[in-house]
Amino acid sequence: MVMTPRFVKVNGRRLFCAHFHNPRVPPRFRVLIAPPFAEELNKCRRILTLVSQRLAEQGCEVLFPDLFGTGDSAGDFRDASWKGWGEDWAALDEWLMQNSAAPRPAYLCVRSGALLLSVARGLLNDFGRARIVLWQPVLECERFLRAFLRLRTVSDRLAGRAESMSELDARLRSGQSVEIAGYELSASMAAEMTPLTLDAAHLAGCAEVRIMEFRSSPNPVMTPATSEFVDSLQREHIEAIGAAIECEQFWATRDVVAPGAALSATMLALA
Amino acid sequence: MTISDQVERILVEVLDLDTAAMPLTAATPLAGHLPEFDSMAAVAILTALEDQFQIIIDDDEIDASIFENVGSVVAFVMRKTTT
Repeated sequence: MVMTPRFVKVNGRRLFCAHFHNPRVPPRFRVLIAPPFAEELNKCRRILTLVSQRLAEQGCEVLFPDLFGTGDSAGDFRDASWKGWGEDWAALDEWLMQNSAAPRPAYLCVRSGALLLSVARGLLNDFGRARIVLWQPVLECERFLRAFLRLRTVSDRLAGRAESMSELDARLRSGQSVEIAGYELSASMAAEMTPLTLDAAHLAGCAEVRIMEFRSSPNPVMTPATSEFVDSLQREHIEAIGAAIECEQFWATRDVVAPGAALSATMLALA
Repeated sequence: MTISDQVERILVEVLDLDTAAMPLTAATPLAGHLPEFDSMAAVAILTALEDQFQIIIDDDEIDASIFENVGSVVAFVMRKTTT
């Protein structure tokens, strides 16, 4: 297994990518990772590196990019947009197709990374052969955005300062950006996120979808929203399988040591 | 499951607590005592409580005393579900 760090220039932007491959095994899938948002990416970076290594060992080629304004890529978070992220992610998909011997594409989308499938819809060139793996997908971005804004209101409240969600909403509506846990959220990005969803229509035409929910309690069951999403995919004649897996909620928890169940389920999904 | 069982289950899940090493009681301290307890964890707990008990928690209702210990979270949920 070899990891090559590289900058890939797409749409005039230099994006840092960790490129994992195995020179000894002909690749079956070329896997493009859709990373999660803001602080969740930091908490997931270790497990995403681990899963990329393991997938490369079993014969996948994996590209783990930092989107514009995140990680080691060019740009500032406040200048990023979901539209731009979608275009760049699709361009990375094209780059990987040109530079890989793997016959089939796969997408490993983590949390809000799943929404990139909706933003990049129509730009992914080999979608009919794609296998999609969704980790605890965010299906409705409005609720996710509210939880993100809450990081600020709740930490202020815990520190004894009073700031309400309606004050933050008003600032964003007036075109001002808001800093949340070290990330400067622009008014335009908040406006883009509010109506963003992932539904069956966005995935129509792909080959297979595997949806994984992670709960740390024993014998977990899927949430009603995710079960309904799996049903809606099946109604669209997409081969979709959903599973609830006993595993730590690694995107929200600090210092997760070994989310082994998530790793093994993902290796099985891309075997 | 009682409200207190359900709240404890959410706290264990979100904070990834090792209950075998340290069983939870109402007096188990949370904010300021657990390194895992940051604002991301607080938001995850609030969101999980909203989902589990089908309640809406307004930001104005939140202050540090709710997260003082396990019992204070249970008391908060009991107030919310009976009003």
